[in-house]
Amino acid sequence: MKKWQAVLSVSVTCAMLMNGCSNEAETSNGSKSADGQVSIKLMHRYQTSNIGKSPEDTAVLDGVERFKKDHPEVEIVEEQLQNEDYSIKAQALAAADDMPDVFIVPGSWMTNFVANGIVLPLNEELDKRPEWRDGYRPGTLDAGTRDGSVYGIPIAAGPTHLIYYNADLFADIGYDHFPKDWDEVMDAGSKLAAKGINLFSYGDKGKGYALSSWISALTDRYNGPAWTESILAGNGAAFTDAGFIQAITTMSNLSKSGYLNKDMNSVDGDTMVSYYFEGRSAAFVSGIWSAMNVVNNAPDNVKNATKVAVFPAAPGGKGNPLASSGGAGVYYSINAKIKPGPKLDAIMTLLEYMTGSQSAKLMAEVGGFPAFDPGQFDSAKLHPIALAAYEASAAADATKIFDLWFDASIVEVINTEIQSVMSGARTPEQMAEAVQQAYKTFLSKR
Amino acid sequence: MGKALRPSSWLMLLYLLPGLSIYSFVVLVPIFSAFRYSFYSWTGGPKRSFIGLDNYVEIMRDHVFWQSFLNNGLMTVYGLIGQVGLAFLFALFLLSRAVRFKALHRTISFFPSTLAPIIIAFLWTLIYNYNYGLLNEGLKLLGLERLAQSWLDLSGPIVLLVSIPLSWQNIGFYTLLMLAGLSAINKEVLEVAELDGATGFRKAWYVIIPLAKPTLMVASLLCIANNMRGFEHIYAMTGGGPGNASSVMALYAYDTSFLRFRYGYGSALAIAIMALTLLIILLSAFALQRKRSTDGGGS
Amino acid sequence: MELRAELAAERESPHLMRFGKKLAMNAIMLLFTASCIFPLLWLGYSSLKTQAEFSNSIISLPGKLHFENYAEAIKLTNMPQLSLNSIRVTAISVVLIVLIAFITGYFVARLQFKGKRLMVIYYLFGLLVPIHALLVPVYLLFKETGLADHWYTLVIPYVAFNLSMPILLVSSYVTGIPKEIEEAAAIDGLSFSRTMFMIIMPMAVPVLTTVAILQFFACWNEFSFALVLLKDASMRTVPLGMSYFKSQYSTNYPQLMAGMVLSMLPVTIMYFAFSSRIIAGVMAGAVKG
Repeated sequence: MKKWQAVLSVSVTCAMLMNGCSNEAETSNGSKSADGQVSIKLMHRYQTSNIGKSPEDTAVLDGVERFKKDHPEVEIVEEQLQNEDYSIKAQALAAADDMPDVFIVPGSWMTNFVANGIVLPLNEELDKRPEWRDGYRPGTLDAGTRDGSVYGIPIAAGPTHLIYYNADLFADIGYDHFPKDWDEVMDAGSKLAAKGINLFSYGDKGKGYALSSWISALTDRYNGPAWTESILAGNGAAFTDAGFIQAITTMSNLSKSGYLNKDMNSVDGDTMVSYYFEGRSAAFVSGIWSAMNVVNNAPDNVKNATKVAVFPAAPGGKGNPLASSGGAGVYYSINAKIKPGPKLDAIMTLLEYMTGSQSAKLMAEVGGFPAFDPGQFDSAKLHPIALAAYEASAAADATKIFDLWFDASIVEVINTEIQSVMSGARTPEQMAEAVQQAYKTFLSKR
Repeated sequence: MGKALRPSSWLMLLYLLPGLSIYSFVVLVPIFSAFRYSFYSWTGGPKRSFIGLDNYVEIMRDHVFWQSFLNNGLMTVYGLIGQVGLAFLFALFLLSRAVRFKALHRTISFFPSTLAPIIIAFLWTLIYNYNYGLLNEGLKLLGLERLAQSWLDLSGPIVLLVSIPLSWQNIGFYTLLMLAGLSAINKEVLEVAELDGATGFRKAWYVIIPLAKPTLMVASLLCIANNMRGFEHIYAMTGGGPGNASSVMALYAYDTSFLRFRYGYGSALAIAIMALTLLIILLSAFALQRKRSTDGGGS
Repeated sequence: MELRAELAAERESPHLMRFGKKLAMNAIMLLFTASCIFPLLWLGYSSLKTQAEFSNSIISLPGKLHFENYAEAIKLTNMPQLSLNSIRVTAISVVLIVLIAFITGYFVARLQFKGKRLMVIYYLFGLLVPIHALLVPVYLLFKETGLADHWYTLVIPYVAFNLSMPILLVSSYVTGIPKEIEEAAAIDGLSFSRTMFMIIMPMAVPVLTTVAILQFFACWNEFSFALVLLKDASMRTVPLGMSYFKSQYSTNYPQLMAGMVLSMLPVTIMYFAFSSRIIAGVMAGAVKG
């Protein structure tokens, strides 16, 4: 056995040697930027290849370029990742307490990141820049704020729930408007089904679509915003309350009646939209981000017929029938280890370039809905669909997007359970029970 | 053995050390850290709090984990039939004089083993696709259009459906393994079988199986290990859905760490997966060994 | 070499049944082989269609060959850079795996030493490790030792996690080499190391080729470590590029297929160039009881 101990001790020594060598290399790297040049490490999920396709990517990356031009003395080390990959990578880095200087934080991560001291409170820095701070639309900073401290700078806002529908297909079955109540919805569904068309296309492979675009808004139709507040505060409301079950039942009925595409749990959002383009479905439910997808990619006959609506009122519901779940969902946050000084100043300036007034104008002009109020912008070039979505967004009474506000453990259970319900394997009551269970566990740990 | 054939202990150590150290460094150290984290409540970042065995107690009561475990078990059973079993059959065919184009069969059937899981998953998602799927297209050509399904949305047979691509990919590898094992015994033994007048399947059953047992055993254990820690195909094809219907242990542990921010619990799950896999391997090795010795006594 | 036993056995069975059985066996094998290759051929020719053509009929051959799908895939993924990175990491890893697996496998097959059984079990344990459940500890380890984010970073886990099977294959193969060879070498006065490298290693080339090629596939296709352990986009490997590409074209199937075909091209060429050797090697190195 002695030999084995020797082997182990030598291997540990080897590891330490390797460690020593590489640390040396790292410090020599560090000293390079120490001679006056500020270097900012930026990690986000906006991609150069999406410029021109996605308003957010276009505006944010334009901000980065403008910053580089105006501040050549600052070096920006940028890592672009696609959505799923970003989540995994950021989680690994966060666990290791090794986040870059500036990174993206979805609202649902914020509680956790604040609790673990990963993100920097920005109030003081923002107070130095009041004009920029006050330019954000009301409420957009909320999901990035905890106990009065702002931890994130929002990028885009706007509803996660809108209905894009093909008015021609609805006209064919005798509707000159989107169905006004749920009986009409089911009626339209059966008439469309008779013609071999799905009422809605639906794509929840990524788990999260249902909660963000359907459940948040639909639950509000039944329960009203007071219920959501009560859930968040932990004072009384429960997922087993009738309204939540009714919302899920409404969705389940659409699925059971065959008004959605059969492959609803195995296709992603892009496929869902392409089914709409192909005329397989008469409508789809999605956020404002899909407006530009319709404008850019839909065949002309579909594009010209597309109109925007929201869910009708629920029978006896307490919510505002014009409301949509919305607000800013994703934030830029700063590493908690950054101390006040020239680097922090440079970072704040970079964030203003990426999300502030100029970037917001650009985002609005290419069809996005920025968190920063762009004021007047050139809407002439905007397609009517994008304009309709923009106006619906500006008019909508924004209710909370559940996946940004509920704890990740509850969100996960809802995301999983809704798939089971939609596939018919579980009932809405069983789902409510399971979610309530996760909610209780969460409350007991708080 | 002569002395010149045996190097000094130091030389031996020198030769074995690079492999052992790199292996220990990357494989063992993370397992030790995971073991340590498994006693903590840890949601990321520098803060951790010690909670003793709470994570393990929670695992005992976590029905999603145990459902995932059962799915792993089911996949293993499908794997043993679809990978090891079929491979054995194909190996027998390939040894038979009657079968033509042996080299072609071997070359082609092994090819899927060389592909990345992401490609296999993409290909099979497309095969199972409702509108653009090869499977539904095939059914249509056979006039069985009413059987067309959105296959990956079926909660019932989902574990079987995700096991098929795994078998499809690995069967060639196991066939080769079997061929190797079988070709080592065929010459002498089969001549004896010839004298006995054993034919066809009787020959396979009474003569070949007992002799191929070591190969079958290695293949089975390899198959069990691979299925118990399976991840990539399921992650890419269904993400464990619909609901938790196709969830497996490794995927559940991964989601726990990366979607639920529960690194401590995720680490405990990783340890549990290893312990359970080890247990199952040991049990099946024991069972196979025993069966082998009783068989040996019988024949 | 073929089974005379088979022939003898079959001579006894009625002619018709023999023919039927033969036919069935061949039919099953052909069906199976076809099922292995058809989906891949389908992937290949569909990648040359347009999306409209594909939606129209998923199974028909392309009318005109649309190579622009490939041009687009190459442009968007920066394939040359990705391939170069993949080749570098894979090549170094494979060389190290072959070397370490040969030495260790040789020791296991030929030498008696304390802890040998333990060492074999220790290496085999690697087959049980659910790496995806351990990504956080792995990342922590690399970060704390400063080993993340270098051009050689991926070599470390690729070597470590791909040693188990090769060691098994090599030791099983070496066991089959007669011991007299080393004894003769010793009589000629060759040292242990020279015998191992100059006499035995050349004899083990078949199994080493197999190991090299099998592990080439494993390293080339690896995704999770590449995602977590690298920051710099200029070091990304092919599977990372594919993941990115997939996110860009989730509904343009032919375009996606072109990307997939492109990413498996090096592996495919490699396989069909060496397939006979790989197969011979796997069979030679396989466990023989």
